[in-house]
Order: sequence, then structure tokens, then C-alpha cells
Amino acid sequence: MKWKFTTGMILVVCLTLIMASPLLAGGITVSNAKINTAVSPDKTYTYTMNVENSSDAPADIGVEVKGYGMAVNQDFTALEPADDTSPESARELLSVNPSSFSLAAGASQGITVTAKIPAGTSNGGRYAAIFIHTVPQGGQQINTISAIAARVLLTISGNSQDTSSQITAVDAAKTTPPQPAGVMITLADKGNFHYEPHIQATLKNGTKIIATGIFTNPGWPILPGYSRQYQINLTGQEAIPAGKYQVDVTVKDDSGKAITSGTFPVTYGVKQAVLTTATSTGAAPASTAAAVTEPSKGTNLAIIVAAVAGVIIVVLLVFVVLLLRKRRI
Amino acid sequence: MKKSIILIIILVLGLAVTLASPVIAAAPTLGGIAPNNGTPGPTATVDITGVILTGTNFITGATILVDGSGVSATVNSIDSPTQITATFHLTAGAPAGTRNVTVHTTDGTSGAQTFTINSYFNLSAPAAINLGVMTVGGSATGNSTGSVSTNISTWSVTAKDVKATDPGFMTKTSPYAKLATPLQIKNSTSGIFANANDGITYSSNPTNLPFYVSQQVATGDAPGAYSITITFTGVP
Repeated sequence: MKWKFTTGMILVVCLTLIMASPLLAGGITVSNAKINTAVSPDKTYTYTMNVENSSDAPADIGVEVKGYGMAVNQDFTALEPADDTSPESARELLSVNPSSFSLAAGASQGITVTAKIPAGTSNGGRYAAIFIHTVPQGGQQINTISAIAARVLLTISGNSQDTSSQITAVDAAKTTPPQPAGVMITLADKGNFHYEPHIQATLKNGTKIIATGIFTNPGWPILPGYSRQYQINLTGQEAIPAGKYQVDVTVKDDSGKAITSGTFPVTYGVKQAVLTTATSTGAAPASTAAAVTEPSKGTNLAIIVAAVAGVIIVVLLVFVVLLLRKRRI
Repeated sequence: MKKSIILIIILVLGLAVTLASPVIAAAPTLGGIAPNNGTPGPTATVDITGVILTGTNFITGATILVDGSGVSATVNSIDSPTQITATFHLTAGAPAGTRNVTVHTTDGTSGAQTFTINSYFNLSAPAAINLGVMTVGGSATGNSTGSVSTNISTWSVTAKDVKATDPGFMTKTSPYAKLATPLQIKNSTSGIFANANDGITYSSNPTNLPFYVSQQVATGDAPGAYSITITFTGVP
């Protein structure tokens, strides 16, 4: 009977242990947790991040350099060395110090990231992630780790940046009215440099434009060697009847350079709603305020005084000329 | 008569130069700020004291102007015509980026130097969860909540089991075994459960990270103490 009871139940954790162990939520704060900068071959650079233990208990912290990858539906994945095979990987160019340490509650620690760029490093960008994480204390059934992946995007200076890309798939988005009709566009970065795509789609029936859509500022770049799928919601005058259409797609990179385009067939199985006003599905563009420096008051006074002095001199010279002429007469 | 005219010319020119010279030299210049960066806090103003501004023509009444949002500065002392000691005030959650700083006096405004608001990202993973004693043929559930605070606009958080062996499954040691079905996780009460090795994403910029788990126990699962670790990864 005792054995039957034991096999009928899975004693996951001793209840005494459960009651005795606090359920801690490790929290960390990292400042300057992104490196996006230009570097030159045959030079070494250092960057500093700061890690703070924002929980109310001591924490062990680990710091690792991982690969920076992405998936067709995910903007970031941390890659283990075996999976980080991209020629644009920066993982082996980077080192961190310290790589592990303990922090009391509220304490902080600086981390130095060193990027050593070998001579002859070729064109484009290099990508990696600094993975800063709490070390789980264990002892619970569902343990959790707080991790912050600081992305590293290095641009090799003095070389060309190639954002050549290819539209590898265009499909009707699977939406249900009243959700607006959309197209799913899969884009592959075939170059050597990252960019945030600006995508314009025009849905047509023959030569008649049915609806249009723009996707811009996704907030995350597409990396060379990777593909990413984007949904563009369509704006039009009226609902789109079920049927076969064509969609013109144009993609530009950050600089506004058109990098790929094409016309693709799409089919909507049911009537589709559309947006009736222009809507961007991407994040709002960050506003940039130009710094305006007013001329200083001191400079203005100097100009006035100089002008007055100039007038006095001119008047004086005219007076002298007239005086000399009078004397000759 | 001729000598008198020449004398008058010299006197007038001298007067003009005298009037113009001191005004041109009075406008302040700003050569540097140390430290030239700071990190705001998530909930309270952070004051950075002892900031040294170096330049020229600093006089009594000089003020410090900072463009953009989230930062202001006050003059603590004008130590000399070439140095000001100031305090920079960073409001909670001040957006990351650079700000232009100038020194203003009654004689003019200096050119700008930059002060940088550092980005910060805080992630507190949901607390560990204990499911208690799980019964064969049944399921156990639990939940907890984490949080994010940051001064940057674009970020994401994913949660998944990233272990190399049997990812997504609760496992035990001595002897090693895994439960037959993977742990299920989701990020809202109404959300759809996903296998823990596939993970979930918090993509709508919440400040809270709700976390729900569910574990089925199959008939053939061996008795023992099982556990799993879910990594919450924030990407600023």
C-alpha cells in the first residue's frame, strides 16, 4: 500500500524544503546595454557597462559573450558558440572582464568589454551579444533567471556596407475581419550589413490600385545572413473582395536606398477589411531636435560698437577730405 | 592745423578700438564637462553633484542651459572665470541620448558641449514557482509576476528553457529522468500555452511580466523531485 502510494504520487520537492526556501526574483539593471559603433581593423576598443543587483538579496552574476542571431519571427536569439557560424559574427573579437562576480543587494559592478579588431578584417558589420545573467540558486521546481542581452553591432570602418537583399516570400496575412487585410513579406539580408527595412506594398488588380501599405522603423535590424518576416497592413477606400491580386513590393534600407523590389501574386480567400487612414505598423520615428545656438549678446554688442566706430571714421575722413580741398582752394 | 587734424583722427580711432575690445572678449566659452554622462533612475530624480564645467569668461550670475528633456542643471559655485561647479538633475526615466549644454551670462551664450543620458534596462524575472506535490494523471499550475523598467523605447523579453539536454522538460537527477510532457508556459491568463523550449515573448512593452505555468504528469513518469529553470532574457 505504501509503495502504491509512492508510485501514484510524484514527490517533486520536499514540502519542508518548499516552506523553508524563499521564492526569490533576481533583478538586475544594466546601463549602456548596447554597443553600436564603428571600429577600424588592427585596433582595440573598450566599452563599459554597469550591472546593479536591483533585488533585495545577494546575487551571483555571470557574463558571457554569445552569438547574435535572429529567426524569421524573432528579432533576437542568443546563440551558443556551436550555433554561431555567421561570417559576420563578432563573438570571437570580444572579451569581458569580469566574467563572474557576486553582488550584495543594491550593489553594482562595472564590466569592461574589449573588442580587438584584427588587421585585415573585411567589409561590413560584426555582431554579438554580451549575456549578463543571474545564476539560479535552485531548490525550487520552476526556477527563473534574469538575463539581459546587450547587443553589439560593430561597423568596420573604411569599407563598403552591402545591404543587398531579396524578397523570398509574399503571402496574404492570415487576418480575420475586422482586422485589416495585410501581406506577409519575408526579407533576406544577402549583404554584409544590418539595416532596418522600409517596406512599401501596393496591392493591385491588373493596373488598378486596390490598397497600399507602408512598414517602417521596426526598431530592430535585420542582420546579414538572416531572414525576417514583416506584416504590412493595407489601407484602401473599400473592402477587398476575395480573389487573386498582385502586390508590388519595394524595400529600402536606412539610408533610403532601394535595395530590392518585385511583383508577387497573393490570394485572399475571403473578403478583407482595410484600414481607411494611413497607418504605419512600425514604431513611430524618433524625433530629432536640432540644436539651435543663438548668437551671443556679447557678439551683438561688438558688432554695434564696431559699426558706430566705422561710421565715425568715415565721417572723420570725409571731414578731412573737405578740409584739405578747402585749403587748396 | 594739419597736426591738429592728425591728432583728432588718432584720438577717435583709439576711442573706437577701446569701445569695441572689451565686449568681444566677454562672451563665455565652454570647453568641457566632467563627468559628461549620467544614468537616470526608474522612479526618482538622480542628482549628479560636483560636475565641473571648464571654459572662459564665467562671471557671477552665469547659468547652465540644457536642451531636450529629462535634464536640468544648477550652478553650485563659480570657482573662477574658467571653472563652474554644478549639479545635473536627471528626471526618472529620462530618455537616453545626448543633450547640448551651454553656459549663459549677461555677456552672451557659449557654444555647446554634450552631456549623455545613459540607457538603462532593469529586468526582474518572475519569482520561482513551486507546484507542490503533483499527482499522476493530473496537472499542476502556478504563476508569478516579474517586471521591466527602462528608459529606452524598443525592447523585448523572452522566456524559455535553454538547457542543452531535454530543453522544455522538467528533469530530475539520481537517476536522471524527465517528465513525459514538456512544461507549458504563457504570459497572460487568456494566452495560449507554449512548450517551455519554444518559449514566450513579451512584446507589447508591459511593465509587468505575468508568468503562468502548467505541468501534466503522465502515468509512466517516475517518482522523484523534478525541476526546470526558465531564463527571462531582456534585449534592450
